[in-house]
Amino acid sequence: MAKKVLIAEDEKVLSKIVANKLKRNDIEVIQAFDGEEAIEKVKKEKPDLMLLDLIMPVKNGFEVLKALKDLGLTKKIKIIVTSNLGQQADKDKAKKLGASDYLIKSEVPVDKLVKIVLDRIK
Amino acid sequence: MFKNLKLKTKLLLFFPVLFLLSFAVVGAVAFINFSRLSDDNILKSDFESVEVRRQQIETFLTDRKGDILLISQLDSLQRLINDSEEEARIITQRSLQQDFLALAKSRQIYDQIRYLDETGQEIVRVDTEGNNSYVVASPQLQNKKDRYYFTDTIKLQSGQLFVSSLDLNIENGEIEIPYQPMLRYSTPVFDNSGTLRGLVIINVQAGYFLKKIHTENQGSLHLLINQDGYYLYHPQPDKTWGFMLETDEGVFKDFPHLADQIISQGKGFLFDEQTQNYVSFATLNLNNIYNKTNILSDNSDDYWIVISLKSKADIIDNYITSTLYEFIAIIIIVFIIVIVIVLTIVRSITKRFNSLQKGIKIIKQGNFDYRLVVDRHDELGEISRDFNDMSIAIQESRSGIDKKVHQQTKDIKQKQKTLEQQQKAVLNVLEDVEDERDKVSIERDKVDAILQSIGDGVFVVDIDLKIIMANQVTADISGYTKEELKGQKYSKFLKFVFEKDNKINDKFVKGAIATGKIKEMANHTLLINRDGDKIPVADSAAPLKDKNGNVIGCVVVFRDVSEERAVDRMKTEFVSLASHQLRTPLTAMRWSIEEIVGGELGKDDSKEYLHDTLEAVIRLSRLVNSLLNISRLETGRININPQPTDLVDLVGDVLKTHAEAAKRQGVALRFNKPKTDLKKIKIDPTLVREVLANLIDNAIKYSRVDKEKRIVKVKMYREGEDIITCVMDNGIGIPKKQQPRIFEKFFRADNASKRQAEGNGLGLYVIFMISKASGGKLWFKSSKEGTSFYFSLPLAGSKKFKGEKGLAGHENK
Repeated sequence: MAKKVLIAEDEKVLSKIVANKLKRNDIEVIQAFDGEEAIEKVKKEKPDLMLLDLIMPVKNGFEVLKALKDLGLTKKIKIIVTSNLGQQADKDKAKKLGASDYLIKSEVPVDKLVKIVLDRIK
Repeated sequence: MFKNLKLKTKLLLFFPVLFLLSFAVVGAVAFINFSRLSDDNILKSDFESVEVRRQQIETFLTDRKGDILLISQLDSLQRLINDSEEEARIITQRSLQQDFLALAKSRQIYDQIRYLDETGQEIVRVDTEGNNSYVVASPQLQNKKDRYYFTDTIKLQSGQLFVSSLDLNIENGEIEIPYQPMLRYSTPVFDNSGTLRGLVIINVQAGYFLKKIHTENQGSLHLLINQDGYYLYHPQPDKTWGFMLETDEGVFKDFPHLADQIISQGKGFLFDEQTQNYVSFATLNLNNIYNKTNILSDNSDDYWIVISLKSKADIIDNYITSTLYEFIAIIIIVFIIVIVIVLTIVRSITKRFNSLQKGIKIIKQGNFDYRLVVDRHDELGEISRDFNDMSIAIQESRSGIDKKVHQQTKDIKQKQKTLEQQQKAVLNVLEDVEDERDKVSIERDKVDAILQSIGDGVFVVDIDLKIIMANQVTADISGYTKEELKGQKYSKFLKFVFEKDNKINDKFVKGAIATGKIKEMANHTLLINRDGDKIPVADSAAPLKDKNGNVIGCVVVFRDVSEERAVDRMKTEFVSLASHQLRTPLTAMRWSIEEIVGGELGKDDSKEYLHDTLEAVIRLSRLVNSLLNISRLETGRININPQPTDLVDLVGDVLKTHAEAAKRQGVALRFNKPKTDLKKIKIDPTLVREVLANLIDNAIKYSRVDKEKRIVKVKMYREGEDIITCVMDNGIGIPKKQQPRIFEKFFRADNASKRQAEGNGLGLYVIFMISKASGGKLWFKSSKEGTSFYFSLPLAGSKKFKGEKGLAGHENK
């Protein structure tokens, strides 16, 4: 079965680039452009992995994480948090809330990002 | 000598003497009165009063004799008698009447004065009733030839007198009532030829002399009797006139044994044993008085006797009474005398006492030179003398004391001088101390002032960590008063704790004292104030050293860094947000190019990705410009070049610029130009354009997507001293809760959520700052129907400002 990845990212360009790359790697991609949409789509699509941006309108990444945790959905989904912020406090917080990875977008080449995704999704 | 007797002697003498005198006087009086009581004296005085009366009566009778003889000699009478002519007679008659009347009026005692002719006919008659004398008219004249007095008188010779007996007048045959005792004198009258021509007669009211017999003397009885012993006068009227009234009253009845003796003796006095009466009497021998030589007539009295009777008992009563009166009088007089004497004595004594008292008072007041008057040798005199002696003694002792006092005063004065000198020395020292203290105080005040004026909290502890002094800022931050803090161990009220574990942080204080070096307060130190609030504080503790370099305490300086922290936090946040905003397009650029370079993309995709990259670059540079502008605006380095600008044209221009974008998005642009022409206003067009462009851009972006008509309206109008440009969209409006934050840096309200990629959240903040710098205002109104932004500019224009740079992103314009 094809793996499903949910990309929760408000920057359309970034979401597009990653989505295209993942698609080229035979991954089914679902895109959400704000926190609420992200939660809805998780509930609905039940992806295997979620790329979660922290800075999003309506609900931010942490709020999404908490909501999913409360819904008990974080166990089944691998969550990779992406951000352009690098605070250690955020990293710890994300990890505590169930994220498996915390990547800083501007530091990570898109290849590597996709590689990590593919890796985690196995 | 009398004066020098003692008072008590005087008093002792006084009363006996007084009594003796009184008795003597009383005795004398009694004696005098008593001696008056001897029979002879009584009788003598009594007889004298009798004799006096007798004399009076005799005089009276003699006078009457005179009168009748006078009348008989009257000229008018003579003429009357001698004139034979009728007409002349009438005149002379009248003349005689007048004479009679005159006499009657003069004497007032004649009941009648009459002339009777030889026939006994009354020719002239003057009657007197009471005070009224009048001539009796002819018709009333009577004939009296049968009366005894007529018959008796005509027998007489010329110059001879007939005097009737004293009896009661008979009128018309009856005794006249009231009784009129009457005495008649008459004498015959003869004419020139010696013929008897009648008589003249006067009726004397005997009552006139009878009443003189009466005595007021209570003890005596005065009587008048005639030769027959009948009472002519008696105090009891019904005993009188016995012979007329035919009573048997008379002296022969009352004193039968005396009657003979009295009558025979004629005059004298005796004591009647029988009746215990003193009797005095005197006889009036009428014949002798009238010089009668004729026969004793029945119609005349021969003699009368005046009698006085005094009962012994009455006399004694009299004596006692009069003595009593005299006695009382004496007592009163003596009493008055005694009072006067006593008062005089008392006054004299009182006077002397008073003067003594005055003198003593003077001495009491301290005048020991004063000497009391010693005028007598009695007790008061002795007291005065003693007082004087006392004064002298006091004076002497006083002068002795004075000398001593004088000497001691000298000593004291000397000592006082010494003390004063010492005092001066001490004062000098004190002054110096005061000066030093003042200096210290001034220095302390300086320090205090400095400490108070420092904006930070400063407090000083001693080596035992007790607060010696704390400034007002310390008090304000901690919530305790300076007074409460003073003297307490600082950690009691000033609780410094570590932020992360709330454990007490006293390292800096203890450290400063222990090491003698300044110790910084650890980061994230909090001060828990009185209300329990945690206040972030910072600074340090420095040791206080004495002259020798020993640590004697510690000065702590701290300040409330909450604001600093907040500002730091905001800066950090801003930087975070800014760097995030910067990184996003960078990431887009990088990944796009990575993919392009990676070779997995087709031609079309590559071109697309290149476009994305370009957009990202543009976005990035816009962001950088915004950041630069913010920096320049916040630090006031923006150039403001006001130029006369037509705002209408400017707005039109901006709209034109956005026309294509609007068309692309299906938004209609409307411009309601102002009604009246606006003059050019002096504003910086670059700055204003930025504002307008931003507003219009937003309006286009946020106008309603789902509605058919997407309209952006621009209005411009004048209001007061400003021109207002209003940019309206008909979007969904800004949520009310987020409206206050619209102008915040990086703030995105929910209605903008979908448009993240466009704009950077700094636009409104930038134009807000620009509006302010231009002298205008920026505000908005928003509802579910849309949002309207208002941008006002003053007609007066913007102030020119020479900053350093213009707006970033407009350098090439």
